[in-house]
Amino acid sequence: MYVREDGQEVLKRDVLDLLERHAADSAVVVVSSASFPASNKEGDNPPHVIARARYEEIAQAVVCTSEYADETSPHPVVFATSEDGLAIIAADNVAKSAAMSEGRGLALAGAGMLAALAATAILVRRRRQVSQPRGIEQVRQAVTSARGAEAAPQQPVGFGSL
Amino acid sequence: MTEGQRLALDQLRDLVSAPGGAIQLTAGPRMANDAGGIGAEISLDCANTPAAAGGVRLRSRERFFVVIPPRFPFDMPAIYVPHSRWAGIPHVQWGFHLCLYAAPSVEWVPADGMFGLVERLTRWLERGALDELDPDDQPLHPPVAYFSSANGVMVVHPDLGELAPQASVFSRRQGRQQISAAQSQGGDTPFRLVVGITEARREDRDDVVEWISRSEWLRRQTTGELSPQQNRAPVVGAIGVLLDREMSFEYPKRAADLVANLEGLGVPREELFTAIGEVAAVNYVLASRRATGVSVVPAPLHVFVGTPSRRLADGVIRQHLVCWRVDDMGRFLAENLIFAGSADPDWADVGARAQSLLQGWIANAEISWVRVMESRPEVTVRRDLDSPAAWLLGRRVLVLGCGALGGPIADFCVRAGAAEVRVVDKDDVTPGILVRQPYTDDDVGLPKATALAARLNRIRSDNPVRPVVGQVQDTVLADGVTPPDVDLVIDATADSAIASLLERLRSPSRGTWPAVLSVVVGHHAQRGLAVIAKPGATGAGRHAFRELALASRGEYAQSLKDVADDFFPSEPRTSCSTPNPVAHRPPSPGQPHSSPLSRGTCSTQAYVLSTAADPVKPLSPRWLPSSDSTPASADQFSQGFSGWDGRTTLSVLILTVATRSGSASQPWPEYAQRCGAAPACAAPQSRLEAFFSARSTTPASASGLMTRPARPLTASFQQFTSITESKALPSSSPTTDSAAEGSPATLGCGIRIRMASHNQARRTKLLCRTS
Repeated sequence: MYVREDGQEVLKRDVLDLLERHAADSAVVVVSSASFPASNKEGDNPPHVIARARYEEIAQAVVCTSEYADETSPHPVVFATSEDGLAIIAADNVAKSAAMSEGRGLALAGAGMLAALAATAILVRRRRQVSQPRGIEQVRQAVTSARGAEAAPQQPVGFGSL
Repeated sequence: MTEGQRLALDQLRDLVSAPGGAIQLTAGPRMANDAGGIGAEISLDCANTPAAAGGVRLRSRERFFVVIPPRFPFDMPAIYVPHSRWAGIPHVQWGFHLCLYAAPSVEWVPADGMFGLVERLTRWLERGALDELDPDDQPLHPPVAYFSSANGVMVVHPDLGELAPQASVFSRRQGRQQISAAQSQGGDTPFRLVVGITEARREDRDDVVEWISRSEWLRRQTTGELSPQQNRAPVVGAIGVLLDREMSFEYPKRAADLVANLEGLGVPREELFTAIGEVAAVNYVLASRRATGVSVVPAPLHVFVGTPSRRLADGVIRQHLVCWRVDDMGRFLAENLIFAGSADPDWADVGARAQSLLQGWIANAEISWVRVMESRPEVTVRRDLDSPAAWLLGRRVLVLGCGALGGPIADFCVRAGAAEVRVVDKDDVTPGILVRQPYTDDDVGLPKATALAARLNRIRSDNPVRPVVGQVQDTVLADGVTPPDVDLVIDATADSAIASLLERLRSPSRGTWPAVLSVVVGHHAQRGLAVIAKPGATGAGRHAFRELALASRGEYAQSLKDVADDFFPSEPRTSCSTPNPVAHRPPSPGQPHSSPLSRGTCSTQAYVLSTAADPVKPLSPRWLPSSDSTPASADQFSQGFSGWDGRTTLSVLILTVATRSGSASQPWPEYAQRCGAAPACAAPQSRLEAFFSARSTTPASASGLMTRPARPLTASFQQFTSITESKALPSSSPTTDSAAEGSPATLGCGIRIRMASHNQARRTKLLCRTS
C-alpha cells in the first residue's frame, strides 16, 4: 500500500481503489496480525496504523484478529452467510446467532465452531478496552488544538502571513 | 498559489499535526481546477459515530477532497467526497459535493478558516449519520434540478393550496415506509395534474398567475373564457405534476428517466401525456388567436414537477416546484396528441403518429430545467413580516405630496404590500428637484404624481398606485366632509395649509377619519419628524408638532436639544436652495421658505452619507414623556394601527409623536410601565382645548411656534417650562372640559379653541432615533 520512493512513504491509491471498487458495501477487512500500536515510528514492522487508516476508508470495518473482541484475550471473528451474503456477526449477537443456527440445524462449522461462538459471546460481555480514543470527537479536539489556546498572546502579534 | 491558499494549507497542517491522527492529509496539495483552486485530500476519524436508519452510513474513516479557492478565506472552500456512496442524500449535490452551509454569507467565518470548515464538517457528519440534516422544526433542503440560465426563469406567484395532494412524507427521516402505510390506509391520491396559467412577460421570463385544475383549463377554453393575452402578455398553460412524495434529491437530466420516475411514483404514462397534450393543444389555439399573420408562433411548453419538499416554521410540508422547458420537437408532438382517436381518420393518423414519435423523443430528449423563482406566499416569508411595516400589507394609503418625502414614502408603501396607494401632487417634475426627489430626467415636464405612479407600478405587477394630479383641497379632500376612504393618510406636503386643513376636516368627525401621518424634515434634513394621529385623536400633525416644539425647549430641553435647534435656530435661516429660477412655493406665514421645518436644502441621502462617518450621532431610541397624551405602543396600535416603520424616514432622526387622549391622569412612571398595555381610549373633543389651555399664558408664542424667530420665543418657553412644572396638580383636578373657564383664542391653523386650565390627563410619547 505504501511504498518508499525517494525517501518518502508514497500511498499507492490505485491499489486501494481497486479493492474498493470490487468490494461489497458491507466489506470487512480482516487483518491477521499482531495488535496495532498506537503509533508507528521509522523502521517499525507491520502492522502499521497508517495502513489501518487507509483500509478503514475503503471498507465498512477493519478487524484485527489480535484485537477482536478484546486485545487482551482475542477470540474468533465470526462470519455467517445469509440472503444478503457474507457478514460479520456483531459481537453482541454471537450467542443468539449460534443458538438460532443450532436450533435450525444450520451447523456453521461443527461443534468446535459452536463452542468458539459461545466463548466469544461470553467474552463480549466484558467491556472492550479501547486503547486509543476514536471518532469524530477526536477530530473536534484536533480542531480545538489547532486553533491554539484561548489566552491572549504574551507578545504583540501582527496579521500573520496575510 | 495565493497567500490565502498558503494560509489554508498552514491551517490544514496544524490540524493534521494534532496528536492522535484524527485528521490525516492523504493527498495533495495540488491544482484542483482551472479556477486556480488548490485541492487536498484529508481523512477524518469517524469511528463509532452514532447512526440511525436512513442516515449517512459512515465508515471508520472517511476521505474528503477540499478545494481551496484562490481568494480564501474570503471565498469558502468546497468539500467533495471521492465516492458516490452518498448520492441521493439531501445536502449531497451531484452525488459528491457536500452542502455544509445553508447560508454561507453568515455561517462561513473567514477568520476561522479551515478550522471552522472542518468543525462544520464534523457536525454535518454527526447529523447526517443520525439522519438529522433536515430536522422536523427546520426548513427542508429541497431537491435540486440543475437549471441553465439560458432557459429563462419561471416566477410562481399563486399558492397551490388545496390543488396539491396531501404530503405522505411527514419527515424524510421516517422514510418511505410511511408512504406505503399512508397509501394502504386510503390516503390521498399520490399525484395530481394541474395547469398553471402563465403570462409570458419576456422572452426569457414567464410568470404563473393562477393554478387551476385540468377540467377548469378545458372548460375555460371551450367557453372562450381563456384570453390569449392578459396584462399585455401572452397567456400560456403549463402542466403541473404534483406528487405526494419526494422523487429524489437530484432530478434526472433525461426525459426518459423523469417519466420513468414519475411512473414509478404512480403517475401513469398515458395520463401524463394526455394532460401534456391538452395543455399544448390549447396553447396552440391561444397562439393562433394571437397571431397577426399566417404564421403561428407557439409559446414554449413547460412542465412543472412538484414534490412535498418545502417546509416553513408552521411545520406544514408544501410543494417544491421545478420546471422543465420542453424543446420545440416535444412541444410540437404534444400539440398533436389530442388528435389520437379522432373520428376523422386523417386527424387520427396525425395523433397516432404523434404518439409514436413522442415515445422516441422521450427516449432521447434531455431535460432543460428552468430556474423557478418562488413568490408563493405559502412557501415564502416576507422580510418585513415582523416589522411595523407589515401593518401596511393590504391597506389603502393616501399619500399627499410626491416630493422628497412623499416619493420615498409611497415607494415603501408599495413595497410593503399596500393594496392601494393614491399619490397626490399638483406640481410637475422640474430639473431642479432631481437633486433630492425620486425622479429622472425623462420625467421632467410630467406631473409628479403621474411619473411617480408609473415608476411605482413597475415594482408590482398588480399596479397598486393611482395618481391624482392637482391640489389636495381640490381633489381628494374636495368633499370637505367625507373622510378619505383609506386606512392611512400621509401628509408629506410639508405645507402648513394642508396640515391645517387636515386638522379642520378631521375635527368634526375624527372618530371616523383614518389615521393621519404627518412627516417633515429639518432645515438640513438631519432630523425628521413623523406624527401619527390615530382615529379619534384630538389633534393631528400641526397639533403634535407644536407640542414637540414646546417640549424641546421645556422639560426635555436637554434630550431634545438637537430637535430644538431645528425648531428654533439661534440665527434665522438664511440659506435656501433655489431649485428653480423662482421659488416654487412662496414664503407663507405657515411655512416660510427658510422655515426651520421647510423641506431643507440638503437631501436625506446627503445626510446619510455625512452621518456614516460621524460616530457621535445618537444611535439608540429616546423615549420621552410629555404632559399630555397617552403613549401609543405597538399593542395599542394593533387593532387599527400597529406603529410606524422607519422606512418612511430613511436614515434620518425619527421623532414619532403618538397622540392619544382620554385616559385617566397617570404619573410618568406608571405610564412607562403601561406602554405595552394602555387601553384604547375615546377622544373627547375637549382634549385639544385642554392642551392649548396649558399655554394659555402664551397664546401668541404658541400660535407662532413655527414661524417666529428664536428670540421672541425664548420668553414663552420659559413660561411653558414653568407651566409644565406646575403639573403637580391633584389627579382629581378638572381634566379637560372646561369651556366655561376658558376664553376663545385663534391659532394660526384657524381652529378656534377655548383656553382652559391645565390638565395632565394626556401624555405624549416621543421617540427619537437615528438609524
